[in-house]
Amino acid sequence: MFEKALRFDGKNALVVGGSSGIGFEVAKEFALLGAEVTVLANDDLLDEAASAISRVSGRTPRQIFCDITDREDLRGALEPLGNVDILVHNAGFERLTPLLDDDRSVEESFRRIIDVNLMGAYYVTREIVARMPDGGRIIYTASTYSKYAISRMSGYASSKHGLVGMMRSFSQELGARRITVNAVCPGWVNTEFSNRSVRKIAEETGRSFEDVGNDVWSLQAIEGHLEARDIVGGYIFFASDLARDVSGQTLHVDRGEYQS
Amino acid sequence: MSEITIDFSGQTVLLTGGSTGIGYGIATAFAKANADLHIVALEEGLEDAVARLDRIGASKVTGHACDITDKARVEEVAATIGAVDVLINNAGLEIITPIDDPSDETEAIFRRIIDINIVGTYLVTRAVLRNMSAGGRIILTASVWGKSAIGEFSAYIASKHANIGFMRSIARELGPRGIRVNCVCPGWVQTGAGMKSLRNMSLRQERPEEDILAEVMATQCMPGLQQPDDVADLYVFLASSQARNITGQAINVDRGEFLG
Repeated sequence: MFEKALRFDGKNALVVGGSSGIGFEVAKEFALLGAEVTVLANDDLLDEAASAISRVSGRTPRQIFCDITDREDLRGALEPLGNVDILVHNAGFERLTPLLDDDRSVEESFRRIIDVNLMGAYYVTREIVARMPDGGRIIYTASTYSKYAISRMSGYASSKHGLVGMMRSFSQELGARRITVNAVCPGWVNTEFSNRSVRKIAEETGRSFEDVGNDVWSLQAIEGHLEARDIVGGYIFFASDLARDVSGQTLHVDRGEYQS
Repeated sequence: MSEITIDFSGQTVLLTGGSTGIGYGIATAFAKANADLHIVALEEGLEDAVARLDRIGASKVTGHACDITDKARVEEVAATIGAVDVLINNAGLEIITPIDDPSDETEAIFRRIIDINIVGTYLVTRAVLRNMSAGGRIILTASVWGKSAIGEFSAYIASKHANIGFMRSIARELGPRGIRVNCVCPGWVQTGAGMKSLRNMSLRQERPEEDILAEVMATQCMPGLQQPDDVADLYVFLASSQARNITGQAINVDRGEFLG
């Protein structure tokens, strides 16, 4: 019964935020498992990511360069896309937003985080739902910080808690079409995306990177720093036939950092 | 109440969205408890609400017309009020936003909900915090939909989950300064906004309002639709010294609708 469960031949998968980190690993894995992959990103790593996926899997992904917070840009960019069976929405933005720091840039970061992580996810979902057949899959990248939070991360924690709320509501709405909607909650992954803030906390508090990192690592049941490829299984599971009756759920791939 | 007396004489309480619904219930409770009360709300109905609260006669009540997404006005109001002991972030917008409604209007409503409920709450908190010393308390109105979801309210549900994430992060951040931060999560309450949502659900589902309401009431451990006064007491408790060791929590007042 399970031998074909993890093949995605003939399926169209769109990975938003797929040019680096977790998104890139997920896009690559879907290509290896037979899916027709489209990678959407707005950084200069897109070309290189597409070539790497093509080299490894023998399938050349379609590329879309687009800023998901630009409503018109997004509408136009997705126009040529046909059916999407699997949407992985992974695009995100992370900065520290200390409440007590009066600098103007903190407020701009807060707004940008909400804009990319929540509004961007909403816009993409709205566009894709219209071209998703019954039985489709929507998978968001949330975070362990969608369930708890640390100091100076109020912007990011707001956005990821919010994303999970949105996911739960969408799962209720799209169930009639047998579209499942779920979220993967990665722990701290060894990517520039996350390491940036850890470095900043280390600088500001005069502690070492490892010392700050240990705040998280000490919470993990399984030790060590997660790599982007470690998270991929969660997405493959939600997209697969194995998860056909799983909807409105969060799956923590965090080595036991947060236990709900 | 019990023999424990709760009295806010000499304490300044700033409440947003205090002229109607749950906010007016909270205002009434704090006015009765002798607080020096500042109501920050949209102009419509504010003067009348302040006059009615003033007639309770126990405390001084001042109204400040303000759209909390207007940063300049928020800072002006915060500066006028000065030192604040208790901040209650209650202002919020709740409107239905079905994902399959393709209108630009629905998208504009989605953005507005995120803007008021998340960014507005952030702007008020940041501005007021400059004038809050050790012993201060911050309470946010979240919702049972900050922990659970129904379909067609994705924007509101995302924003309420986000309020809880925000609270969790700033509770960590402000704990060392002796400031407590918590969320109140009301269930269904008989307010204008709540009843409007019920009407919209009834229209969308083509079912009578009474049926939908009966279905919701059936999920509560205790029967009956709550009134604003029913939920207001939890705010009073969380602001009181009785709750001096309670921070970082999201507490339901929902007659046992959502157990978690």
